[in-house]
Amino acid sequence: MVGIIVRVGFLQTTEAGSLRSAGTDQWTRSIELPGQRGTVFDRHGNELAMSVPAVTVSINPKLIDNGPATVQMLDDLLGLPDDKVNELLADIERKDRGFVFVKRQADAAVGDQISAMRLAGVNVDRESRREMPGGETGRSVIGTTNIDGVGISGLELQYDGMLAGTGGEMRREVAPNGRSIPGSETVTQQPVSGNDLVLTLDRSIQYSTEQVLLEKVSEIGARGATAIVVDTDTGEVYSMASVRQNDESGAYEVTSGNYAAVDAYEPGSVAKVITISSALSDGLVTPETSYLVPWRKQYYDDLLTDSHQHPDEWMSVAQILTESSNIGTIMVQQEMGRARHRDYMAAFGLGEKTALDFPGESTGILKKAKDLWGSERVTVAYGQGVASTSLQLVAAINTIANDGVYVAPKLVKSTVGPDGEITDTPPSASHRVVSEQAALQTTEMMRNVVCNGTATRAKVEGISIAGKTGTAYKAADNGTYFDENGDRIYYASFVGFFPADDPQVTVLVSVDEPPASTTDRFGGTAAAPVFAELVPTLIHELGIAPNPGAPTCDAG
Amino acid sequence: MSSTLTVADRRRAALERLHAPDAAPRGAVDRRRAALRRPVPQVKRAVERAPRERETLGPPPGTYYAIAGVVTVLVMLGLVMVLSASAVTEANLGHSPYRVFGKQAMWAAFGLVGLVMVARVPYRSWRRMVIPLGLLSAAAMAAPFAPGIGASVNGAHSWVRVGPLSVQPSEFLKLAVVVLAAELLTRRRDQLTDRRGTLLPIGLLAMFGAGLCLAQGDLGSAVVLGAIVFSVAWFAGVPVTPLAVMVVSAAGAALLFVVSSPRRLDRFTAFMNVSGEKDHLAYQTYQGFLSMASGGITGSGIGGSKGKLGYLPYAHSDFIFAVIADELGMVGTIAVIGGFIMLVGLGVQTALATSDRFGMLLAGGLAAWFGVQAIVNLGGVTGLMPVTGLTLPFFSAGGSSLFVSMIAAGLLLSVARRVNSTPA
Repeated sequence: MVGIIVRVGFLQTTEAGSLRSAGTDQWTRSIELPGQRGTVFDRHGNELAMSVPAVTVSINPKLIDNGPATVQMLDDLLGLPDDKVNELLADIERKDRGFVFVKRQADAAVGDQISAMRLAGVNVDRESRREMPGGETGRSVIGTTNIDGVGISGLELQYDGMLAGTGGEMRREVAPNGRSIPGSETVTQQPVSGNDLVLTLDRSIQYSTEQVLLEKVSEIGARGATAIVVDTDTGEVYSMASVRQNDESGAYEVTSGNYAAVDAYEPGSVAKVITISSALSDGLVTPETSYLVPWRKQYYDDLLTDSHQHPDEWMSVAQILTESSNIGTIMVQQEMGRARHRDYMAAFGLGEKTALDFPGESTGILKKAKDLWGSERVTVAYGQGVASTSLQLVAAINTIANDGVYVAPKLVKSTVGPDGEITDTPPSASHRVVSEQAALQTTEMMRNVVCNGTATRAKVEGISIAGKTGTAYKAADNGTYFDENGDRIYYASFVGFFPADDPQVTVLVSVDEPPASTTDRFGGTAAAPVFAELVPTLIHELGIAPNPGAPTCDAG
Repeated sequence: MSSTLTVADRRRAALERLHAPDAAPRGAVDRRRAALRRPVPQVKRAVERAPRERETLGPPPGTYYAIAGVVTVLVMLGLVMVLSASAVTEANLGHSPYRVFGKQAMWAAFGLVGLVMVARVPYRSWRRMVIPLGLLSAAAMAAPFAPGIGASVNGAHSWVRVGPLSVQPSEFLKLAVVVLAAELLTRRRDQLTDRRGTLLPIGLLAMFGAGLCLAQGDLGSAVVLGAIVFSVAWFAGVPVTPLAVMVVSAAGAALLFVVSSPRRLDRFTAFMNVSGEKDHLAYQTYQGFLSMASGGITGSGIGGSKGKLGYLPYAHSDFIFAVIADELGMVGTIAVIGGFIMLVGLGVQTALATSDRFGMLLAGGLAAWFGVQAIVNLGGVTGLMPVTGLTLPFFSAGGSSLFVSMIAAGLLLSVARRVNSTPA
């Protein structure tokens, strides 16, 4: 008896330390409490992406007695696929694993039902699920989180550090079956919620943009399309959409990747705006300066042509842009020289990522003047031999709309801290690229493009629009401008802004691989109508009122 | 002076006193030898003829109240601890948290009635029931092997299930063996060294009782039975040589029993390597250690044990001591062990003080029973001995254990009440 007292005495005092910690390890579990991930709002406070409570249901096959009944019950509540049911039954039969996922991201309400049954070997753990209340609207930009709620693409990835909360810790005591002891949970560290992001996107505009793109690409059978709407003064992006045909299903859908910022392509004739406004800004030409323009001309190794045959004719700079003459634009470019032209393109933001720094954003290709090879040296004047993303291009052309001042595009308007404090992001950086006069002159030319030139299908009754089409040859994967059938591959685009006399928004629509054999392959036919369809929505959503007395196509 | 005497000295003195009327007061050994050659048939006859007359008893001695007090405290504490140790696991099984506690409380109520009745009845009347008692309990020991009602728990085939009740007949056998051994050695008071008349029957009793327990795979109960017979024999004054032979042969039989099954041997030796076998053979012992260590000096409080959440197997029955040590700390362990020491001490005191040989042997056997069973259980829980599956008397959940322990306590009380009454 005394021996036993002594023995117990030792166990409870001198030997107690290590045994006690072994015991504590055995019956306490610490659980990470995820900090609530911040919500992504549009500019008006509509939720675009938010985390909602969800549960992970898992089982410990070793602790389950009645496998079929348990699995049946889980199947009834969770609606498991048949092969999952069979897998679970097999796992319970073998009893060689201690942890098997049943379902992740299940509804919290169902999780509560399962917890309430207190089944041995069935665990329900809280997690959260990222939901997009607006469906797939904006998903190309917002991006996605993985199943653990970590941003893996788009803004979710880029701002993960800001959106993600700081995890807390909860300790609980568990019985050997892993079930926690009621009342034993203690939060040892409170989780901190992440910051909310308020984007510059407008959910309505984003939705409309995606819808008109989807309609157009499925109507004409193009591979895909992107469109961007930016605020002329601030560079705030109202919408940035990307749609593409799914390789497997053939259906057109809003892409998960943000091709408007990630894919670079040769902009084609849209780039003539840059060439001509630069020459105007340098005072080398005026809109009236005329050149004798042939329909084709040899430059270096290549015989370059305009888009259609015409006799040698005197064309003013304004005419060159309106009629989108390649040879005429080369002549204007040669007035300032390749180096100067290249500097202007850089100032317009080509060849460098925009301030968005979107994950995976492309820099495009802007070679140094001395690195240009062969006829590339002149084709860059009309946007071949240089590559840009839609985002770079819309920001570049917005410079014209914004009286010659480049303003960096912007997607995040403000952030909201866990305490509710709103922090506005700093205004976008801006710099002057071309003179105000050059910008106004270019705008007038672009207005004429819509009224009388290649973009008449961008016309909208009652509002004056300035724009420029582009029908670029797209470089195929094989390094040529032809696909495996020997057909040209096109990239049709239209960039426009309005009201032309006081621009509020700039819109770029690009259609990727419109059908080469139809008349839908041109920027004026594939992209401009999409723009025209978007204008009424933009006027309505942004409250743009046409100035009375502003010039219209009829008057001009 | 008397306080420095050993129990053995006092036992010798008690024996001398009991035999004083017919023995020369020349020294215990001489007197015992003399007694061997002188049968005392008249005493035997007197006992058999004991008339059923109303007793006249004086005021109960202090030991009587002390035993009653200790048993009350042990049973009450036991009930609380059974509730604490079983509630969570029962609730997890989907039962009422009070299921085990309710059963235990019911048995405690039955036990209380039995205890009071047994304490009131003169213990000498048990002498008349030795033969049926022995036969009944021996027959009951066969019941676990009967199809339909027998049940095996952890390899020990020692349970009988009748409806909602599970009963361990070995508990009743212990009671029967105490009475049988006491009766036998009271009758053979003067032939203690007679091989055929005394030593062989007492040896057979021990062998038979322990053998029945071993047949059920219940080593713990066999050890307790052997210890009971040994103690009764020792109190009766059986000489050292036959006692030693008995101990050696019993130990040999136990060893043989253990070694005969590799599984039993593994489990038996696991206690020597608790930390090494903590996930397998010594899992229960190791979990008991964790619980006891978690208690510390002051304990984690009633309900505070984590081991009982399901980590510690049999937390409410065999290993209830670990939960007590956890929730009540060293204070609780000293109280429990101290309680048993007191109970055994009071039993021995009763045995030495009683004026009747049967009463003396009964009290001695009962004290040994409580003491040895507590030691075997506590030794197992604390890792000093192998775990045998023996209950802790008065504490462990288990109806038959509690009920029989309380009947035994009643019997001890009956003796204590009558220490000074002369045999009728």
